[in-house]
Amino acid sequence: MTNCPECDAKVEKHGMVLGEVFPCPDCGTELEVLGNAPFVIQPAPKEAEDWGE
Amino acid sequence: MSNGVRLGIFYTIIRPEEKSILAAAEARGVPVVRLDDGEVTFGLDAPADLPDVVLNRSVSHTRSLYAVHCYSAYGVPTVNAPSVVELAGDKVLCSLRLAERRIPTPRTVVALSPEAAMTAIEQIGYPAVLKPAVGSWGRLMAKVDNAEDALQILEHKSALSSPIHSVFYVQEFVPKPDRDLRAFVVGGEVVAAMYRSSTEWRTNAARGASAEAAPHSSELVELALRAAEAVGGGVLAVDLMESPSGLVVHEVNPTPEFKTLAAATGVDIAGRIVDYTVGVARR
Repeated sequence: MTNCPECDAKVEKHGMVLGEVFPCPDCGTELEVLGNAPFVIQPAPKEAEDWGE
Repeated sequence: MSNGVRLGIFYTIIRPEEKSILAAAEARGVPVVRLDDGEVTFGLDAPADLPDVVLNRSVSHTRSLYAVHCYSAYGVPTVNAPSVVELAGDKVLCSLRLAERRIPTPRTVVALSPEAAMTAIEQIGYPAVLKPAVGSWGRLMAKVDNAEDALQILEHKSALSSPIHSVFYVQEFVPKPDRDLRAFVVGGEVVAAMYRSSTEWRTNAARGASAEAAPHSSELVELALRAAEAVGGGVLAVDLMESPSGLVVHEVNPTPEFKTLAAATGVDIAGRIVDYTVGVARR
């Protein structure tokens, strides 16, 4: 369990892998898993202009 | 089966696609080397302890391009190969190759200045579509309905500082149903296909288009395989539109997302990608 760096909501780790991107359940900010033990998250990288499939 | 192959995955973030690729590798007993595109460095000589093959999943075209060239120089095969990333990742180069191979594709004119872009739009006629040469998810695309729109959009693009916005890729607007088609090619096979439907003219899944499995018609399979082969083959998503005169290929994507396609078709796309990638690893 940790807190969203944007809205401070509690965020639980549910089988997430390192580097995984997921939305904060409260504010929807895209978050990235930086560490699993301890569970560390930060806002995901912002989309750059050469991104895309 | 891993056959002792160590699979490198070069990535930006772990989206559902990368998570399913990691799971597919684990299920096959393939050891994975994670290569974060924000952390890896590349010297001029091959470092020790390289993986046997690198699957590129970076979302950045620039990072993808340099990384696959570096791994290739080190003697490590990449999926996709550098020439494929170069060609398919750039709409201008891709369109040129499709036209060269006589694969039906929308009429396209490229211009390198805002003034020439106005001429290009007039040559294509209204409505026209203005796209960035690199990058996608339907971002920064504009439908140009008349000269007034064209002037405004070109003025906005000129105000953007990146060189990417100094390349004007103008395409005819193809009158089509409210959907397009995506065929997912792995090696020499179309493994899955879907319709992407939207009331908006851009039918990217990233823009919320809905998806359903599409039949693998002979026309779809033939065109998708020809388009994939034209850029060098590998793991590619070929996007097609149903024009009044038949299917046309408008994009070939070298690092495709497939979450929506896998859900719509039930195909284990991640597993197919891992099997293919392990198959091209160095021995």
